Amino acid sequence: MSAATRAFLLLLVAATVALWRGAVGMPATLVVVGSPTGSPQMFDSGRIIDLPQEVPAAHASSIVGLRDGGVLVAWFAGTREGAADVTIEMARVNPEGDAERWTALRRTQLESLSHRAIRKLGNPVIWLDASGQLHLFVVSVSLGGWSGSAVNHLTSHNLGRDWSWGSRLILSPLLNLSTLVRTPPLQLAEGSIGLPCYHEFLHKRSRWVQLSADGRVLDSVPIYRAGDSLQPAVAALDEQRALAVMRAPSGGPRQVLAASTGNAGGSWHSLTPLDIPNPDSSVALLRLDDGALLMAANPLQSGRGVLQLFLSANGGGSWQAGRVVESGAGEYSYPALALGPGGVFHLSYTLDRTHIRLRTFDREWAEASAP
Amino acid sequence: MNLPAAYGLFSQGVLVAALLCALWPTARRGWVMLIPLNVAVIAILVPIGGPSVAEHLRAVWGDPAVVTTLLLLVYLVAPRRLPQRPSRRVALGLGFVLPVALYSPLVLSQPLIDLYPVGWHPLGFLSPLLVIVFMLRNRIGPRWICLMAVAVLAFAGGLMESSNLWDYLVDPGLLVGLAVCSRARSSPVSLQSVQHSPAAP
Repeated sequence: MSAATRAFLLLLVAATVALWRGAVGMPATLVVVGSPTGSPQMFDSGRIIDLPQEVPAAHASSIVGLRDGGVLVAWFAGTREGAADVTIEMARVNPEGDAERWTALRRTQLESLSHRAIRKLGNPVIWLDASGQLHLFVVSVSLGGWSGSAVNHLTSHNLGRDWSWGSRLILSPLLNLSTLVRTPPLQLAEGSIGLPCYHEFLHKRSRWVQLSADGRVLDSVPIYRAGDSLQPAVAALDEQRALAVMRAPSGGPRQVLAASTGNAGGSWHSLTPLDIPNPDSSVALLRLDDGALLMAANPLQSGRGVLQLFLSANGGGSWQAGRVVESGAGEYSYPALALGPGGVFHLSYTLDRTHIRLRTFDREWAEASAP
Repeated sequence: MNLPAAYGLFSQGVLVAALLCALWPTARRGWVMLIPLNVAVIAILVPIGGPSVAEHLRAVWGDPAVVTTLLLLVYLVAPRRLPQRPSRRVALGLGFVLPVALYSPLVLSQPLIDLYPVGWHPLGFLSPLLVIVFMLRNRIGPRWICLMAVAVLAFAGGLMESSNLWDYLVDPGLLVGLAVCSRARSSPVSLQSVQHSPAAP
C-alpha cells in the first residue's frame, strides 16, 4: 500500500468521525411562540416611557416581553454612533412603568470575552429562549466601518446582569467581513435558533442563519434574491411558513421588501415589495396570538419623521394601516416589537437618536387609524 | 478561555514566529530559534494597549485555517518535512478557481453559485472531496492528504470558532500563497525555498 493510500485511509477515518459528530442542519420546524404566560397588567394604552439617558446618542433598541408584564430593553449609547465609548445599555421596566437601567456590555469587556481587539460596538439584539436564558447578539467592528462588522453571541442567566461568552458567528469566507443583526431570532424545534442576519460588504444581503442550541452555525441561506435588502424581520406563521420583511436600501424600490418560506427557513422566495413606502429604514414584525401580524415602519419615501403600525390578518397578503405612533420633524426609527402577557404589546424605537422611547399598548390602540 | 479562542491565539503566535523566520532566515539556526519562539509567546500573552498582538491580529484577519497553521508549524519545526509544492497547474487551479468560487458571491449582485454554505454540510462536502482525493492521491501526495485529515479531525472536534469545513481547510492567506506558487516557480519566499532537499512525494 502506497504512502498516499495510507494517508487517504487516514482522511477517510477523519471524515467518518466528522460525519458521526456532525450536527444536523436544516430542515427544522418553526416554533410558534405566543405571548408570555402571566397576569394581565393594568396600564394606559399608548403609555410612553423615555428611558433614562446620560450620553448624547442612543439608537437601535431591542426588546423582550417578560412574564410579569415588564419588559427588557437593550440599545447602544455613547457620544455618537460608532464612537469607541459606545456601550450596550439595558433597562428593565416593570409593569408600573418604573425603569432600572444598567450598562450591560462595554467594548473592553467584549474584547476580554472574545479575545479580540474591538474598536466599536453596534446593534444589540436580545432574545429570551424557552429555558429563560437571555441571548445577546451584538455587532462589533475591529477594522473599518460597519461593513467590517461581525456578530458576537453571549448568554445570560440573570436577565442581562452578567454575560457568558458564546461565540463569534463566522458567516463569511473572506475574513468574516460584514455580518450584522438587527432583529430578534425565532425558536426552532429541538432547541435550535433561526437568526435573521445581513451582510453589507459591497452588496446588502439578508440571510437566515440556523444556529444550534449552543450557538454554532448550522447553515445560512439567502432570504431575498431579487436585489439588495437588509435588516430582515421574521415572523413564524406556523411550523413551516414564515414571512420576512426587510429594509429597502437606497438604489432599489423605496418599499418594504418581503420574502417567505414554506419549509421553516430551508429556502426563501422573494415576494413583490409591499405597498408600504420605506425610506431605507429598519422595520419590526411580530406575530400576534391569533395569527395576525403587526408591523412597525416609517411609511415615507424619505426621512424618518413618521412611525406607524400596520396589521395583516392574512399572513402578510394585505396590510391595514393602523395607529400613527409618531409624526413630526424628529426621527422616530428602528422600531422593535414584543408581546406581553394578556394581549399587551411593547414597542421601542429611537427618538431623535438621543433617547429610546417605549410604548405599551393593546390591539385596539394599535388598530386606531388616528394618532 | 475556550478551545477555539486558545487555537486562535496559538495560530497567531505560530504565524508571527513563521513570519520572523521567513524574514530573518538565520533565526532558524541553533539557540537563535528561541528568539522567534519568544516573540510568538509575547505576541500571544502580553497586552499592548489592552489586547495582545495576537488578539489584534485575530481581529484583523481572523484565525488561520488548520491546514495553514500546520504548514507554518512544519515550516518552523521541520522544514524538510514540508509537503511537496503543488504543481503549477494544481496551484493555478486552487489559487484562482477556489477564490473565485468562494469569494465572488460576495462581490456579484446575483451570484449563480455559492460554495461556502456547502461547508456547513459535512456529508455534501466530504463525499466529493474523498472521491477527488482518492482519484488524485498520488499526485496530491501523502503529506497534503495528512494535513487535510488533521483539519477534518479538528473540524470534528470543534477546534475553531467556525463550524464551516472550508474555514478549516483554506483561508485567504493560503489561497494567495497557492496563487503565488502558480506564478513563480522559484519564488525566494515560497515554502519550497526553505526546504533543504526535495520533499518526499
